[in-house]
Amino acid sequence: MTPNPNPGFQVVPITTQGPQINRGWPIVLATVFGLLAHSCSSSSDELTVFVASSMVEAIGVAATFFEQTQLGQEVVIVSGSSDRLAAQINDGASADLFVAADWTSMELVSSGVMGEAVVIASTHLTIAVAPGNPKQIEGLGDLDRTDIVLVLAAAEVPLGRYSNQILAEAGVKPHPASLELDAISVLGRVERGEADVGLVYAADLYDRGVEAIETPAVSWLRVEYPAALLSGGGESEGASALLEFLLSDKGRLLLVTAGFELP
Amino acid sequence: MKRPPVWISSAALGALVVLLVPLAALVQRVPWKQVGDLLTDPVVAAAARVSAVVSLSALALSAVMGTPLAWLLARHRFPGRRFLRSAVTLPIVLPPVVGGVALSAAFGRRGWVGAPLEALTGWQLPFTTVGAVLAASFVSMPFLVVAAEAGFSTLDRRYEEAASTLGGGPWLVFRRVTVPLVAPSLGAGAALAWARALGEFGATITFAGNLPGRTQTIPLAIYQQLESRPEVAYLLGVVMLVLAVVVMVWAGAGIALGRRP
Repeated sequence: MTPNPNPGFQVVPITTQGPQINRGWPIVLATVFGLLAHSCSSSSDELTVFVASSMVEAIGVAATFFEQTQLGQEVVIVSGSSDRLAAQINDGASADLFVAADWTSMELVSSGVMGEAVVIASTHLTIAVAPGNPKQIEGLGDLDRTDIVLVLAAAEVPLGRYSNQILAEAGVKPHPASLELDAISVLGRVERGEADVGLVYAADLYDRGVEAIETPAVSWLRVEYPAALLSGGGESEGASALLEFLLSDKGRLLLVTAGFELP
Repeated sequence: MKRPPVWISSAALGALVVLLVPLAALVQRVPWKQVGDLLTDPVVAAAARVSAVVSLSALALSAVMGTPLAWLLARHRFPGRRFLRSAVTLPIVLPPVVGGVALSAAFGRRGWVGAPLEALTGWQLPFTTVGAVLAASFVSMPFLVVAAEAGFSTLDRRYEEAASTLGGGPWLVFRRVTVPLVAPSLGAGAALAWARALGEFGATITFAGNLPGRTQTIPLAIYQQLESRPEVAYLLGVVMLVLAVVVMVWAGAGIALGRRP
């Protein structure tokens, strides 16, 4: 140790840090918890819509139009596979409107549904291939070929259930390379060239860089999108206005423009 | 002993709620009476097998390629060494899904390496078990490289020099002197790398897809089964928890071994 140059004074370690921290920390904690509490509860005019992944873009466009007609109303869109969304609603997620890609997932919602679910749009399945159809897929019968990379949706999600129904009906036994966990991922695989073929919703092909092989063996199955008002989000008035808008002529026009068919 | 201030205790309690309550709740959700049936469920068995194959192959690949890389980074001076050292550890902090997208860009069917590879040999890496191994290696190898490099650079070189002076060839010195001395670091690094490979999700599903028996690892199976058969997801979750404890003990043993005088 160096000798103390000033023998009249003792060098004392500074001990005021403890109390300083004590004063500062509650403020930090209060801020953190305040922020958490704030972000846990949605703000007053926010309307939360849970949408099947295949319809998220169309609902997004419709919601933008809706926001312009309803001043101050903000629409928050949460997308995912219908089954996952249904499970989240059952787990208490705050949602005001649920648009599912099939009735099975709509019926999974066990509580909080207000009134009857109504079908807002429909579509059918189609075979998606790369532009120019380089693998020469002629129809559903080609889907059991082993020289193609085929991607399907998993049976846990609506698109997978529809796909399996169509394939079973036709007696085709495919060899998928991957089972995707939502509809939009199947399309993405074909779009990026990772897969040669996929079974997708026809409506999703709108404005996408893939080609559709339309065949009655696939398109016979009607895909309905039921929508239901939910009590969980606390914005039921706004939600019912949005649902009305989706069922109105203008709303339907928007959905049709996005590639869907009328219910 | 003085009691800790209230704010410390309450913050620590908060930490425990965040860290431990979810794990306890997960264990509680497993239907223990059906465990026998669930463990032999085809989905569970296939996912466990794929996970074992993929994570152990990734660990082997990391050890075989990552250890020499760590050796070069620790022992040789070459231009760009520091840049390279930082670059190879990037996957540790990169979101795994970005890793998957990057792997597709490089090894996918339209990728830099993937396209010529398919044209020349007909091999495809996406949607294969090898692809899943690649994804797991991408995220886990850096852990082994970092640990091994630290071991190599802190090693007292006089042991190796003494061994050389006594007539040991380079390979013998490496095998009998260097490796045993860095073994604790290698062991701890291997444990962390294996754990990371085992828990891999984002890069795997993005690059290798999801097919039971081929690329569906335990984390992917958990995600897929969560709604339709939650009991399977919970059980697989506890399996991962047990494996995590194994890794902790393994890594802890390695570190304790390293501290031994």
